[in-house]
Amino acid sequence: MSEPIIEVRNLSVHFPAPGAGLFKKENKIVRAVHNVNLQLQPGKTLALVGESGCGKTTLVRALSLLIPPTTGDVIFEGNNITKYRSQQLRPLRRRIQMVFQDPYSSLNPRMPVGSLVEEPLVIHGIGKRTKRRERVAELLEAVSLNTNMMNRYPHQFSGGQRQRIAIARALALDPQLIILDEPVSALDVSVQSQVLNLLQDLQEKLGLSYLFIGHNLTVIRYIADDIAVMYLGEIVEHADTQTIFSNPRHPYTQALLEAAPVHGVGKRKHSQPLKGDPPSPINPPPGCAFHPRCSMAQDRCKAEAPIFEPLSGQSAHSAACHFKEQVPS
Amino acid sequence: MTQMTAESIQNKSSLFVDSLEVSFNTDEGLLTAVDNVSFELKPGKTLSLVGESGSGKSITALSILRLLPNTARITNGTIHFDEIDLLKVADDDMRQYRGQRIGMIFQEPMTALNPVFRVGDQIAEVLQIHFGINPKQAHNKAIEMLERVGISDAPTRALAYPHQLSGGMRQRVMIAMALICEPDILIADEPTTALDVTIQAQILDLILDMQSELGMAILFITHDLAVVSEFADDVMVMYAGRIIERAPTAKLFESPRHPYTRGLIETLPVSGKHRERLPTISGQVPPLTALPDGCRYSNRCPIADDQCQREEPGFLANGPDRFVACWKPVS
Repeated sequence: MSEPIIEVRNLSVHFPAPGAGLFKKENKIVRAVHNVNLQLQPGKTLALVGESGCGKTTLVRALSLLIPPTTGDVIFEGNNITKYRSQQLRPLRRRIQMVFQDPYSSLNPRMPVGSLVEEPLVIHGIGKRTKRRERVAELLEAVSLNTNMMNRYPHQFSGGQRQRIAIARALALDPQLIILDEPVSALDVSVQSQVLNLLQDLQEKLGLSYLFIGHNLTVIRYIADDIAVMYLGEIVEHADTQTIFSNPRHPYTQALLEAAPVHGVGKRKHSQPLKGDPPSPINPPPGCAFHPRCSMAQDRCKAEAPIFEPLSGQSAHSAACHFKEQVPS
Repeated sequence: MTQMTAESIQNKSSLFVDSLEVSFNTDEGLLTAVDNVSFELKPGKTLSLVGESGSGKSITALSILRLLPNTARITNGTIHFDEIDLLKVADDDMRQYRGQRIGMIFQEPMTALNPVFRVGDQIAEVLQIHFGINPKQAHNKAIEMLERVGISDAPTRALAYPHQLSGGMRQRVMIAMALICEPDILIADEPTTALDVTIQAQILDLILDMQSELGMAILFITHDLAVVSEFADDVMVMYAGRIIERAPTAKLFESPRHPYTRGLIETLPVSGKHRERLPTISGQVPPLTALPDGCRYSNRCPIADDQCQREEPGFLANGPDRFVACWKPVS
């Protein structure tokens, strides 16, 4: 295996909990991300799946050092960048870019598209004005937008086109890694596939690595090479896409797969949906964080936190469950 | 799961929407957002209305309750319920239908619930208004209803404010509120779109359970074809204000007749097609100000010909219990 483009080791992000009242302080901790280990190989797509509030966004923010991790390390292309100062991080920022879920709120409505795409180049002081304009035209072409639209404003574009603009903007600085935070969730079905195709073309052409955050399992199954499943701040299962879908070993992964609607399989059968909501990360349950919702939980699960480790004989498939070898699939 | 009792269905009424047309007054003139839409909601059955944003799904639903925005007007059609045309009912009298006989749940429960009242009181208020039940009794009924929609520790939760509940729980509160009068019709506008998959599964199961218990008809509005496929008895596909196809759910997915329906289903990523190129529908939904001549889909349709660009196709029967608005339906 080649060197991962980005790796996090034992990464945790803890926040002080908001107090009980407006001015009261409380010495509680929100365990937003806890002891996460992840690797992303160059040119590959790793998907991060989990319910809202499970820490996906905090994890990618810590991983791109937009917020400081509480403990743990972030290694980018072999260098431990956790302790870098903002001055040192600046050149790295060019290599890691983000595309957000909602193209309606992530683009400045007062800037014409040409300037929006040019902005990252200006901020990083790259090229002269004419050169930059050429680059913008190139980028718009790369995302299949007409270059004569450069002087239009975001509101003149549809959702799918806006997401293309956001992607062009992310590509402006020649990044190696793009973090895609629910990039197609806000789009209509008929344009979703256009954007998914575009993302794949760009990955092939430019050798990009993607960290894809999502909740639509059909989309993730389609686009991801590897999947990491997150629950209450921790990675509970990690394997290649095929394995996650054919042989999920964590009861939470199994529940997620079962809950996801699939078209063309006929009328809904009453599944055994997960009961209740995820517990609060301020006061996570003792033992395995999933045990209050797990149909297979035993006494051991309530007392002892399972270790996230590979299954026997399968170094690429890890799960955090005491019964990962026994769980029926 | 309880079997749907014949009795619970018998007590319920159907709703008939016929040739509904809704127009908006805009700077660009009068625009028709819903054009010639007809359907029937039958007790115990779920009819799904699918379409992309701006296709007119929500406007259709809001017309039934006469909750349209001020700029909109119903310019044609009838909505019959219990032999009465709801469009002719006086504004004040609409209240006995809204909430009581026809319930509605919305996409974002946080904006649909009042943030400064306790949820129990909000549910109880429905009973006080519609049936004049005294506050104490209404409160007890509200707690009972919260239990029925699967909220544990209902007496305590009833005292909570909406922001103290999770998204899934808020949606349960909405459902409790919509169903406490045991309506004949439930209109659900994207009820699970804002929820996580595991919570979505819980809510869909809950709605189905409540349907088999109460026998109401459901109009289920969504853009998620996967949910439709598992949830609805029949599906109507809407495009730029018109219904372009209608069929029983299984048949629609098995053999879509309209090229748009077919395109939508084909663009969905499916298992076993890892990273294969996805088929796409070119272009985008036209704005109502710039609908193409003839068939509204003709500028995106791969098989459109002269006739399609000239004349708008009628919504015609195509085999038993299927309808399609297309000159060249796929067979």
